[in-house]
Amino acid sequence: MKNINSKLQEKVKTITINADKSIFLVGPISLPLKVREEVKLFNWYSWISTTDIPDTETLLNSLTTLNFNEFQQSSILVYGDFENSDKSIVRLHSICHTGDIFGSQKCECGFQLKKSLETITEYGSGALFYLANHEGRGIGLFNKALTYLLQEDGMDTVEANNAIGFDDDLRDYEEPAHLLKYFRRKPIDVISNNPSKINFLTKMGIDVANQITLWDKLSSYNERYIETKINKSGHVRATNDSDLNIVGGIYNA
Amino acid sequence: MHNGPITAVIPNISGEKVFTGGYDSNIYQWDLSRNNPILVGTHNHLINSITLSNNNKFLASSSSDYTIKLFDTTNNHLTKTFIGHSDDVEDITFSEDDAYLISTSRDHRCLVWDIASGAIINQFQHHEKDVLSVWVYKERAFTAGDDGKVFVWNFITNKLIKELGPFNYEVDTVGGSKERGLFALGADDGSVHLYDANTYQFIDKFKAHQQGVKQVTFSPSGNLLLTAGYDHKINIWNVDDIQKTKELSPYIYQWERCLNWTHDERYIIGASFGKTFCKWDVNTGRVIDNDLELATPSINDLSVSMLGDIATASDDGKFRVNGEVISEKNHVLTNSVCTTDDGTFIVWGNHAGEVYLFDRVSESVKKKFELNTGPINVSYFCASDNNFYVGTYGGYVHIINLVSMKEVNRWKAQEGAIKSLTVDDENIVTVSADATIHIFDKSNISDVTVFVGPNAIINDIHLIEDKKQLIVVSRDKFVRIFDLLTGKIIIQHNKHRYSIKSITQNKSGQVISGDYWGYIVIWDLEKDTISDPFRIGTNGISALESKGENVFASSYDGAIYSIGKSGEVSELIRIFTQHPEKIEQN
Repeated sequence: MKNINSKLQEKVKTITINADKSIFLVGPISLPLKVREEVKLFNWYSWISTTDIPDTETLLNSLTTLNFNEFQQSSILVYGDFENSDKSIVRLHSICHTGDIFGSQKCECGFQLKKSLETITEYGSGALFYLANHEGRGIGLFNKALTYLLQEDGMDTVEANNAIGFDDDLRDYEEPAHLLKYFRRKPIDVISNNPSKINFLTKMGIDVANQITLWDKLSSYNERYIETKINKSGHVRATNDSDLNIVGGIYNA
Repeated sequence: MHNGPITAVIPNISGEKVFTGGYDSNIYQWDLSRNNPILVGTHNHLINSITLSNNNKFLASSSSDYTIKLFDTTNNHLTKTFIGHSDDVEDITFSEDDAYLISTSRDHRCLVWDIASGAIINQFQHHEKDVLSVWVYKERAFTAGDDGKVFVWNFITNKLIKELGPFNYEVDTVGGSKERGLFALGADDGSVHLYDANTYQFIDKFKAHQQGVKQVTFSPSGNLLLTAGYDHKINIWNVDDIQKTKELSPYIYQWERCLNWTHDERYIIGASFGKTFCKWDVNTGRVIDNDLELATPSINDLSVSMLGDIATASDDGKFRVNGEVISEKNHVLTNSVCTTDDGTFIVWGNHAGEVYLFDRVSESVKKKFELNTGPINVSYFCASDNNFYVGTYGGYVHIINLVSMKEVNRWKAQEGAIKSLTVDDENIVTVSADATIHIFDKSNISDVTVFVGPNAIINDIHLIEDKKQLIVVSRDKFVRIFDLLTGKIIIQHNKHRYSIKSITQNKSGQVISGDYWGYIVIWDLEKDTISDPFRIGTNGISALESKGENVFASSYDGAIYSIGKSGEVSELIRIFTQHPEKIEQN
């Protein structure tokens, strides 16, 4: 166990968020992914954040009692020389059980996940953060199922979240922002239709060079969802038929 | 006679007639001496450009009512209306054989129209932002826009031939000479770029102005090039050696957005701030009939003191309080006005980049500041530090301290023109034509956070101080509320059908927004209700300000309106009537 622990200790980094809270980041682990029918090698990381585990050793010694299987953990997929390359692109992807895994056409999540990985490999450098506590814009899978029922009766996605007592969007990007800064200090392009996300990263001191928007083709299944995101949640509208647009230069002056 | 700024002027070949189009939606025909105006036609909203066919038989006009109209110049009858654009049509030109019209629009498209049938034969979609200017040569269109890109494309085949640039700044204007096979671009950094129109080879670049170039026009022979910029200068250059041969006398009513040569090259005629067009003698460089007053008082801004005194900024540049002229010191268009809360001091900022500090006690101008960073667009008074904050088209913020009566700081705050600014104890927030929000730390100006969100020019902002929230309105027709600390868009609506110009919040917390067509929307955040747009003015709502129980609205139509908390509207002051016929209809 001792030898095993020393290898693992090397691969687990501690990142302090504040006096009480730390992130334990494990990786990199080589992960071959099929992107556009070609195998590409990514470096995979996972992390947990905690307020009551003081160090890596304590963490590794209490794995059997921490019941991590009861909670979802997030991932980071890093491609190329993410730290040093001049140009790099990042996607902060909120988990979507129905869209990402099942390929549900009610949302555009599955499309965005696939397209983001393709774009990262095209850039030659980048990272995808897969954020596990973001299901249903932060309300969780069970509650998302409830809102889908309400949407069957005519509510839109924002109204349905409100109807069961939640705000429109509960997602928090503080941990990914800290991790982003750990991985890279140079400017990044960000794949997102959501300006609030870009503004939060900027506020956290991350140098966002460009916002790259990504829209799936409209279908009868996702049309209302996409319109709601544009009309109620402030998302940037696609500017032409292309599914990948550079919206504009955004910079820290 | 025009009842608002004149945006477009064009003489016919014989020099007998001059046509003008303006923000009053009207097109007039004049003689060259500016007499005998005849109304040719009207649009439903601002006219942005007019042009004559090469044979002078037709006149085409492009408008913010999204249409293009074609008039027969022999009898001034409307021949056709071209419908197809989905936003303001900015520029329009005829093909050399007069068979086609090529239009550019804020819908990011250029359309090619077959004049005989009225059909759209091509749409050119390579521009990513508003397309502002077009010139044609043979079967090629040269277009420039807010994306900083200049394209050369074949308007018959719709094929892209060449992309010039990329440029690091906006290119607002393109013009050329068929006679010389040359074209020129005017850029936002004050430079003019000269190219061969057949090979697209770059020939020369020269610094023509201190600030953005708004117009480049070759003389009919092609031997001279006129350039005009935000530095309020109009220069004439010899095309062969790029030497400046003349600088036209500055004229307080000159508007650099349109200037044209008469065909004999004896006169320059130009846009103005109302009534009729400007005119210069090319030989002497002098203004002809310098004593003519060429402006109507469309209201561009208002500011209300605690006493209820309403100061206005208007196209005729006169300083007014409650509709009465209190000073004739300035006749240059003013875009901004701001009073101290107690009403003792008022600043007006004008199109020539000057700020006047007016003392209401002695009823006199206390000091004049020549800021020289472009036309003044906005001013804001912060009582806690006794400073006036002034934003300009050049993207600068200037701080003028009321105690020392000195300019105490200035910095380039944004790349694009400052459209609005607001200040609290900690921050200075500016928004600009480039659609970004900049939040400066008051104690350290170099500490700036940039937020994004709107998809187009941001026109106005209002700070909800106790909540640290910012209301932002944009050309993209959305009213958004941002959390100032995180940049999150908390909530938004898009009830307006037209580009939104102004925003405020009343004492009850209702958010009131006004658009470029004179419509108001009232958004009650607490009750979660949003009114339908309702029209209060016959032209755009240039500014909104909340004082006491009321909101005060100024309009380009010449009036100040008050809006009560239940949405009741009354006309408080009318300086002039821009659309008498529409008011009668109401």
